[in-house]
Amino acid sequence: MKRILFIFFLFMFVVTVKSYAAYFKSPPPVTVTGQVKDAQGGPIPGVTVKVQGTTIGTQTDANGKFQIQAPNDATLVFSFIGFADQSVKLNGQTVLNITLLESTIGLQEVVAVGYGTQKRSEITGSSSSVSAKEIAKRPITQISQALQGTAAGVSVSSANGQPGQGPQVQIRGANSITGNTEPLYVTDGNIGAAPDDPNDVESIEILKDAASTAIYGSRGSNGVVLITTKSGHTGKARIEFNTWVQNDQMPKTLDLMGAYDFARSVNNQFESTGQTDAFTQAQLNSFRTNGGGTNWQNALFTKPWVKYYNVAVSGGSDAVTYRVSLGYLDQPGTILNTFYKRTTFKSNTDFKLNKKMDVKIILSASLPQNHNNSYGGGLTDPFNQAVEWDPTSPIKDATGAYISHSKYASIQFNPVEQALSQADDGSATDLNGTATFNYHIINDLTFTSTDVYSVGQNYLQRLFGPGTSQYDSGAGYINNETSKTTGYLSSNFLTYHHKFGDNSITATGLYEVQSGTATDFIATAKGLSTYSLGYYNLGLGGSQQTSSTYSSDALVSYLARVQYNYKEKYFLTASVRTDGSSHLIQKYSTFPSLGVSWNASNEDFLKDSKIFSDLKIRATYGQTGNQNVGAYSTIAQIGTAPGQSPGAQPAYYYNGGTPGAAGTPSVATPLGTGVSTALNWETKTAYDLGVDMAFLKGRLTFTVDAYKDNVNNLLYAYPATYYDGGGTYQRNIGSLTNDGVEFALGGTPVESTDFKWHTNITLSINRNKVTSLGGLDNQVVQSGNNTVNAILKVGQPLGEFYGYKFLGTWKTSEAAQAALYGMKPGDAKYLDVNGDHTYNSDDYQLLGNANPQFTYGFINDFTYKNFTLSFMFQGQQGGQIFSQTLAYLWGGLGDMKNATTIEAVPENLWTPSHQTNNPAWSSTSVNYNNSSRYVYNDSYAKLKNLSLSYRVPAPYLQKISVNSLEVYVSGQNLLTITPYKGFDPEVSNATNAITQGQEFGVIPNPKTFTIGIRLGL
Amino acid sequence: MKTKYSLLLALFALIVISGCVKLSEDPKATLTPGTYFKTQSDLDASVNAMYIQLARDGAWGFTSKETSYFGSDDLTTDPGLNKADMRDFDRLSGNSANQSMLAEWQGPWAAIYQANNVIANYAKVNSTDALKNESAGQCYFVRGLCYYYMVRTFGALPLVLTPISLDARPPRADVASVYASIISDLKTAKSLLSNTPSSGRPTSYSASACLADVYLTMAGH
Repeated sequence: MKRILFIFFLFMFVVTVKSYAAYFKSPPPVTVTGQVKDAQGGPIPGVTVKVQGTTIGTQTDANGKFQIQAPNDATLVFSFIGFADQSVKLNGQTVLNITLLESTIGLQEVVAVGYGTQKRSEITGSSSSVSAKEIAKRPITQISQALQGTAAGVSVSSANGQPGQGPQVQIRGANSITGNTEPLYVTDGNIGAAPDDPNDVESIEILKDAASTAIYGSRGSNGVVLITTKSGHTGKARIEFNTWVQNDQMPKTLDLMGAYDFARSVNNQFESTGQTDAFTQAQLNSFRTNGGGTNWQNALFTKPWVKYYNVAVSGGSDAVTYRVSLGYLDQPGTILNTFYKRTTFKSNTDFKLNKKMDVKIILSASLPQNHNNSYGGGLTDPFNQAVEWDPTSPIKDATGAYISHSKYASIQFNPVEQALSQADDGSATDLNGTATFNYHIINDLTFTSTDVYSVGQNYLQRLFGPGTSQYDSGAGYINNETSKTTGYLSSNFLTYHHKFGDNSITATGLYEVQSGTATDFIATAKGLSTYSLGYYNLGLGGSQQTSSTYSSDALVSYLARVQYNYKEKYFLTASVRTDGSSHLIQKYSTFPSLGVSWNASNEDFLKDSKIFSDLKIRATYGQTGNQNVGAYSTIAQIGTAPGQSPGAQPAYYYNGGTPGAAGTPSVATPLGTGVSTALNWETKTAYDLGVDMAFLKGRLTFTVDAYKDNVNNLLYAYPATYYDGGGTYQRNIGSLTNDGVEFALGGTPVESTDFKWHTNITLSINRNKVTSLGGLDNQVVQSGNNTVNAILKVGQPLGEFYGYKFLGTWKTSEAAQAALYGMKPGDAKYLDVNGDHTYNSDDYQLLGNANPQFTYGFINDFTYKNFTLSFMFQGQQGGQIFSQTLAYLWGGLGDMKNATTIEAVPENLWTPSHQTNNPAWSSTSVNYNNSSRYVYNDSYAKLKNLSLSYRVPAPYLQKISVNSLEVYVSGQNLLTITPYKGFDPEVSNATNAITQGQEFGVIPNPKTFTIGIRLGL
Repeated sequence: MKTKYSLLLALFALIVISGCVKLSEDPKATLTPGTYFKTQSDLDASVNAMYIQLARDGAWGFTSKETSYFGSDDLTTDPGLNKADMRDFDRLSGNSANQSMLAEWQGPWAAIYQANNVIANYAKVNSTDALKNESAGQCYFVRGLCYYYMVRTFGALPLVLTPISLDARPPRADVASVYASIISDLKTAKSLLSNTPSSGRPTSYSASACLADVYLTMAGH
């Protein structure tokens, strides 16, 4: 509270100081007019025109024209994203015609750095940008997709191809074992928020090193993504219309057995295990000649049309500028009965209150809606069943009813029936209001306050009735769940910017509070008398369960930052942030940072260099944390609600009753496992060394960064002793390192009037290593699919696979040895590490790792007159993937039952005369899913985007009163070069860094074809 | 400066001040030890939580893991498929890989953990002494019984009779000390429990019967 009062008095002081500002006098203003064009002579609307050293400014209108009042000796600065800034001294001129040149390096570009902006040349840290232009090249639906392939050190994998699911983003490796490793998103100062519609985004700045992210303290360790959304401009209203339609399809289908092959494979299996044939010769003949059965992949997969629309209206006067946009996305998935739909609204309005004050108000609403788009990759998921189920079975029987069970399918459910019968629906309303107030107190001192209030409401309805595997196994249910979140943020900072002689200093002081509350209510009905009302009437349940949760937290922060430079040659940035969090017992923690850089190209000896147009050397150090200690983690809890939610305590019956039978259940409130009161953030200490180079007037740019990150206080669910309640509790146990190098090469090999080729290559190498685990070494971890196949081990990276080493088959010559294991030639052979003639967990080996050796992106734009051809490759080399999807194709559940892969046809299996490494059917053989047999090379190169666009020339457009019109066609994921045999090397159902690279029934990223237009009126 | 702008400034200042947040936590939807054990029903629910540990599958529910009874002529197994665990004990060869052995360790400890929680806190509950004694007596009884099961399977055991810190690793007490503790618990239970029978709950007679069994088993130690 004291600090609040302090800030309040500061305000009052500021207000007083204001009156002295009148002493600063300027020469009489004149009206300056003019037009801004690009190199091709096209007008550029939206260019910022500013009187240097003041806050007076305007923007060019739709025709690139501007009008501004300025002192007659003033210097006007013209700036626009993607173009080099231009300064023009008026010297009495009143008409200016300006030609802005596209900047390839953008060193003069002003970029967001968090709580302020800086020229790129002044930045001491390591960051990468993505512009609106880059975003517009691809028909992306989630903003995080825009980061893919464009920035070195930023690994973005579309881990899941279901509609509405964003990719996983990891900057410079994983910084947590089981916690969140996603970066912090900050949109227009709103911390922890990302806009939904990519079309509303003006620019993205990715802060990678700890010195840049330390200003976000306890939330900075996974990197920070700063997003600036599009704002209005002065001048006539402009309308932009963006739309595309897209056809999606599965990237491939797996090569599986048809009815005939499956039937003879089942016969082969039955014969080998002493049973009578399942299919008669007549049936086999019929399958061979007439086909029959079902291709389940074709039956389940769809080729939907995805549609996207966005309309944005922008304009304004000197006093008020606005941009309002409305977007709609309709995205059905690539399997039956799934979709994601989203309506977004966003309005950015800037008010210039007077010479010293301006306010920006941002209102946004997002209304997403989803249907069956969150399959987790379970065994009974339709997608899994589509590749495992009996291809001899039709979808429906003669009466038109679904065939739910198959005699020969290893697992149990008709994929088409399940997909069409279940309903897992969600709809949300997310509203957000942000006000940013700037007060230029005196020339050098500005006060900024960003205040955000957000509220979100989510409603989920689920139906797992007849036709679903849940219902089939006696666990059918319906439920309704509603949750509400509110968030509040107030960032208040003073920025002091002053130049004296050759020195330039910017100091920032911040006080910030953020708080949030979340409530959730869920009601479930089981054993319904009828499911005919869908999920609408919970009263039909034979038993009902309800539960509710509440969570609230708060963060109070202080930040001081100094940015200093001498002669634009030597730069220094230092910051200290202190975060006080409700999550911890020790509330406050402090995160310092220091960065220096030397702009050698501004030195006399390089000033006139013909080779270097820029040379900058940077070095930084910083400390950051993450928020992986949740609310209430340091408070011991008492369990509640017996039997009310999955995993909760069952009710206790004193008189011997059981749930559903006679007897009165009693409420039990067990004391939970204890908590560690010493919990602290996972803290990263990081060093970065970088060089930025530009050659030949910026035609060629090269950036290289090397970094060393140490993460301490790693959190892990630590096992409690049984006499302390058993279970696990969160505890800071260990440390890990991420060391890496990243390269970004940009160039414009060809630049002529008609033809231009621009290329960008990024390459990132990261080495992750666990260095200590506080005595918990060699933790074997179950991945999401219930297969024990990951291990946490000191000296190894996270994402290490663990299991049996598959050695093929026992050969005839090894019959005696096989017999020691109770096996015979043709059975599966694994490495028996301790030679005890049994296969058990003592024989588990390290089997590979998900971390790639390096990742890369390769972007090219070829512009010929009004045509632009772009393509982007993205890929990785050297990582591995552990595919349970492919394991189950050899027969599920370790029983070698009913293989579906075409590789398992009888002639490919081991026989005495043809001793292959594919085990024969046998009752003595075991097919372990957690074996190296299912670890594959996960290297890939994907043609993420290929697009051709055409800008209709201005003369044609003027006739139809159109400002701009661009049409384009594009394709995503058209080509994937990989040795991996599964659907998609990019996907994973990892929920944390240990289980990364584990894949089981994950729906792949679709191959898409898009046609779209961008129209400006 | 015009009044309206001053007002605006004041408004922003107000927002900042209203944003004053507390960093202390109040988990409104969660019971915590700090606020619990106020009423008799809190106490009852905590006692229920002790019994449920033994009723769960993997402890003593559904698939019984009463390993301490095997190796005698009270119980024996048939060569059925799912009896392998028990047959190990029948042949006096249970080892750490045996899931029943694990259950025999987990179930009683889980109940002792809940019993210790009640024994440490029951006195502060706002209720009658008779009711409080009845609750505490059940916990002493179950704690004694659980140690009795474990001492016969595992021998020396850590004696954990109060809530302890997560980092504590108490040493194993020898068998004689464990039996002493069992007798003490059962005697306390006998004095606290009433002799009115109640379905599913021990009485003072139960404690006496259990004591008798303990003395018989101990004989010769």
